[in-house]
Amino acid sequence: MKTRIIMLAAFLLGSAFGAQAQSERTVEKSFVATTLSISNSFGDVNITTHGGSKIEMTVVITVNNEKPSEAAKQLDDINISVKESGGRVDVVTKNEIKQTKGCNSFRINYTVKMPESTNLIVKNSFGNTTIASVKGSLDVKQQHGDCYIGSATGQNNKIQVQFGRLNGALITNADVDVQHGNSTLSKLKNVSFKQQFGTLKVTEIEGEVRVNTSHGAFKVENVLPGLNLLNVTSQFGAVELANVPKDGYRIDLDGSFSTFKYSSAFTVIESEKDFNDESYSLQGKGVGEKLIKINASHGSVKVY
Amino acid sequence: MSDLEKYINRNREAFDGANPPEGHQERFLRKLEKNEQKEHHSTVTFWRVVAAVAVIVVAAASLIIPRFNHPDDVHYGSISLGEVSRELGDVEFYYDSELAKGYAALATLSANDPEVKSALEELENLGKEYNSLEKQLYESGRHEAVITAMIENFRLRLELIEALEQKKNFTLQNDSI
Repeated sequence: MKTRIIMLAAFLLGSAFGAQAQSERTVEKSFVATTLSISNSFGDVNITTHGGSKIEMTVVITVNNEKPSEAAKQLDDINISVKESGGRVDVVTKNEIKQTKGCNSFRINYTVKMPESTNLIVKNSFGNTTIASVKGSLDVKQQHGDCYIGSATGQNNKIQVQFGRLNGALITNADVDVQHGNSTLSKLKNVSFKQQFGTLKVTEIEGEVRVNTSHGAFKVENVLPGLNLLNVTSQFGAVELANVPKDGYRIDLDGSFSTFKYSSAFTVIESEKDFNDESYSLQGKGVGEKLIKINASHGSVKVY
Repeated sequence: MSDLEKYINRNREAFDGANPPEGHQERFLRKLEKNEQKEHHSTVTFWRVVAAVAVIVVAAASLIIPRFNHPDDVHYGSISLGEVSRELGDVEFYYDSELAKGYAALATLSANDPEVKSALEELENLGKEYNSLEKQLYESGRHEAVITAMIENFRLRLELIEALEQKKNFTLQNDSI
């Protein structure tokens, strides 16, 4: 029933925008800057990198309306503001489209080519953001749309996604916060990750990783030997770590109202079980200098 | 002294013996009553006129003021799905009624249960986010992407309640539209 209602809503939405005239305008800009900031709504932001020294930006503004004259008028109401100062460029979408009787349908899509070392700030909503590769610092705030990050390997990265998915290949040195969307990443290294109301799936983790999840699962396919610290706090969800190296790790598990399962390859050094609380200290072969620490509440933990 | 007074004084005795004609008192009282009614009638008419003028003023204001409140001129601040189209209003009504059933079912659970407490907090957050989307729907000129986000917000709230339903083993009333 629920699916039918969503499909009906999508159909109603589609039919409301049928047979419309389209007006389009393209804005092209080029700058030399060390930091680029883009603030946009109702469109996609696509960032790729190149070997040149310039930032090249193309913005395509598209307006659909039943009346061609109205579409042209609305097109004039959307402008791109550019401010350059001290090596920083701030680009903001200014939308002054007025109320109409029907629904508005317009998109502002950004395509940017920039040097890999550029520091990037992106704020986007009601559209998707794709960032191929950034070596400068990255600050992304994405709402009501998905975010894809090829690689973010700068020294200071911040990624926030609300009501959308986060997909990516490699994220390092980052604070990540995802709410109401799933995250699927190939590799995390030196990352602090907060995931709420969605699942966090990671293929590999390395370095120091701190994860705080609630109302969603956290799954790791491979714990690389390069992982020095993994600190997980989980509420109302499952934690599953697969292929944990059996050498050199101490694994501390504790929690309440939770179940704990671990590979027999680990030796239990200490354990305590109360009515609702449990804790285990496990050791692989050799002296455990690296630490995996998992605290779970109302969930399940599996380490193997 | 007038001639009539002189005449009455001279013939006083003749007047003292005369009685008024029959029915004089009734006729006198009727005349008095009529005068009183006339006075009352003029008061009622005055208030009727005042009321009529008031009705005309209110009617005129209700016709004129909405012209000044046209969406082009006034910032209402937010728009509901029902104000976009009747069909989307039906969708809004469906989700509102499903959520109302969900909230009623959640009210039977213990608010001390940390998972219920956490879910209730998040439902409140999602409700606030929905209000914010209603504002953005207005500000964007009813953009389709905001409408999609509003329906997604309903779906997330319902999903959250259904996830709790499975875990805490309560059942929503199974009414359908």
